[in-house]
Amino acid sequence: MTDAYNEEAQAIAACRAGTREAFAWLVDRHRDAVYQFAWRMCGNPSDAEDLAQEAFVRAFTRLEQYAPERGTFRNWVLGICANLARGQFRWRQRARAMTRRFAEHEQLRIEAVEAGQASDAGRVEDVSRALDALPVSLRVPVVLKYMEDLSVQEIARSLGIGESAVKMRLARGRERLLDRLKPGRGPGGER
Amino acid sequence: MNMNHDREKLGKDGSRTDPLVSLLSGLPRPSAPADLTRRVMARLSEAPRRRRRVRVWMWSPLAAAAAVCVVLLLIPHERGGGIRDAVFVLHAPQATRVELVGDFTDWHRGRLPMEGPDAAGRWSARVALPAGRYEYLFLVEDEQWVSDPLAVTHRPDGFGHRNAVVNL
Repeated sequence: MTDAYNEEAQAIAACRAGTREAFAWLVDRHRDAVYQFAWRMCGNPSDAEDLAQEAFVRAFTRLEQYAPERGTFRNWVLGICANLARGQFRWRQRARAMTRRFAEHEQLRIEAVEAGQASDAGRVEDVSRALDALPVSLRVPVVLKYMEDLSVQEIARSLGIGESAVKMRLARGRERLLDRLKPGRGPGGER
Repeated sequence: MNMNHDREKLGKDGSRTDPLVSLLSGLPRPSAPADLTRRVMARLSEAPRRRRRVRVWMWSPLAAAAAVCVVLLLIPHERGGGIRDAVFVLHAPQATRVELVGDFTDWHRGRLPMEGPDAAGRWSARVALPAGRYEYLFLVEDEQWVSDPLAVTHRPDGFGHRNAVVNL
């Protein structure tokens, strides 16, 4: 096992023993990954922060349920985050999506350009918009697979669903995403 | 984008073979706000067992009228193998929809709708659970969260309300 793995295992053991400070170490370690995933689920930084925060709080309260042999702590928290996104946060997304959509994508585009992460900011916006347009049930596995690099098995374990279901959702999400991003489609995938 | 993933998706000539990887790798990966850890830790101090957001506690006159009287009867029954049947009962004769939400549903709605009301106005749900400690609430008319006033134990949710607690 790696030093990083052992360090994390020690932190988790310390949390379980009642040392809350150890959990701060775990949050520090994984906050970017969880926040980025939450952003992809919510589509805006404000809700992403709330969602990431809630996922970590939930992880802390359920730490006894975490089983290292079933996956990494990071993947476990991502799974919690995904379940929250599918459940109680859904209504918030719907309520805010319409009013914030334009501003959020504009912000995303500016950040992409500033960070030099994309040569074509317009394309980034299209991809982001197409991803946001996927239903959460498809977006979750697509992001976990293609952005967070989880295997089908890891996704299945994180979400508590079967591998067949993951494969099916990945296929459907992939198909929809690529279809929306076909050359010749307008902004946001509209023909 | 993770390098392992990239390797899997590279063709023999080194070019990307999966267009989706190429497309998604261009998306920005914003860093988490610097104070996220502090805010999480503050939440843990204030609300160690918080399950829901405070806004769900907003009452509506309709929902309040629906649950005129609330009485919970919890009847555990040993099933064997450490599994126990627990019957949750809520007296809410005016209600048209009641569900049970708690640790055992991972606090997701829609998983344990209760049956009722019976002639006495009671809603009930039977749940098979491993022995343990569980927090729960009732959700009346999809909007009113109702704790159990007769539960032996309650636990603050950090926002002025209490989850009912049962030990099976």
